[in-house]
Amino acid sequence: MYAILDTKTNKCNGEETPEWLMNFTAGSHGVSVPDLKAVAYKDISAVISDIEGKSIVTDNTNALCYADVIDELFQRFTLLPVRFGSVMESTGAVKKLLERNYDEIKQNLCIVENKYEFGLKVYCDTEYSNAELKRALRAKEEPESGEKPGQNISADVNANSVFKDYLMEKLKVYKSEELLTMYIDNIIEEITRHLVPLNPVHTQYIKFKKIVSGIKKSSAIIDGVFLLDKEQYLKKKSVLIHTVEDLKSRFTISAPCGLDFVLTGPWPPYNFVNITLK
Amino acid sequence: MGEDKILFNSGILDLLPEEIEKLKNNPESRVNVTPDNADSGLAKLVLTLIEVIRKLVEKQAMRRVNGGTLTDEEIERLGETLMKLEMKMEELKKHFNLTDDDLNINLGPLGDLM
Repeated sequence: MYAILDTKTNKCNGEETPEWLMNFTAGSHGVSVPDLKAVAYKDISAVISDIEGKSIVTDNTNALCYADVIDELFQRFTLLPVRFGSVMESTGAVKKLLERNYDEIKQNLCIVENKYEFGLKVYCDTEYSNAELKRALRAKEEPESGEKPGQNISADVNANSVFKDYLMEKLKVYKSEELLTMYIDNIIEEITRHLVPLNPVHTQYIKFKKIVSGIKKSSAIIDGVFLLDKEQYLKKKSVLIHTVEDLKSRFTISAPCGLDFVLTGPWPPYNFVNITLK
Repeated sequence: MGEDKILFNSGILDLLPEEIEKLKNNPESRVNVTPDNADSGLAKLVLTLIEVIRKLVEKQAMRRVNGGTLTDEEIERLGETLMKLEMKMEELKKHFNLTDDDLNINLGPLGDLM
């Protein structure tokens, strides 16, 4: 199963290969078999390949083919992409799945209707920022009062304890990670501030995942995704790209260590489908 | 990813083919279990999981230390426990001939596991 579409406007009458899909499949290839079919329930349809009796290899070729079908469908329809490798026993089982989850599917389709998903990854290049963070940590550790990390731990008890020293070292690492998290939070805040004007009412359509595993060369620190209205994107593609360019140059000034930005899309709404199938 | 999907790249993606090649050819980024090395292959997998859990416990402990709610005695005990846990892990790694890097599985674009 590739995707679930809202067929309300796509004239699907429950037949296995409706006209809209027949037109679409000309020139496209499904996984294992070339033809695509639609399984309909009310006004939603699942697009599938009927691979009865065939086994599917989960290799690169099939995964790319699967993504291509979703991508082609997505150029024309609002859809919920289904995870690669989602196979059901029969078309009847697919229909039952649509029936059981109809309300949730409709709700999700409503959220992503006429939206494109974009990915924004931020990479932090380097040892330089490590040094920057250490400097910031030292500044934080040594304010005017001369406080040290773990200053709340009484110094007169077990002053020479190896266990306590060990713990203090661990605490330093913990604090530097905390600082990194704060640093990433600041970047996320700045990115959100820049993106919001592109889609003012949909801040809930911006999601960020922080990756805090210590900065290493060229590691991703932020994995962001956001939805934009299709029409707005088509009209303002250059504005979006300019926004990210602007972010890049801002951070080049404030963090010369060099943050790298990668903006990708438009994608089907892979990260905005939230259904626990019944 | 098709070129047309990349709307903006400030340079980092130029390194991607090289990184992918490294991952493909890096046997250390996989858990390699064969009949001949079932013991160490399984040990690598199990120790990786234990290490992740140990790091989580450690982080939680640091949160409490940093919060300042622990007594000196509790701090002492916590330090001792964490130290012994780490030493035990070192022992196990040595026993199975594994290094820190072996347990830190590379998850590609997601970065390292730990």
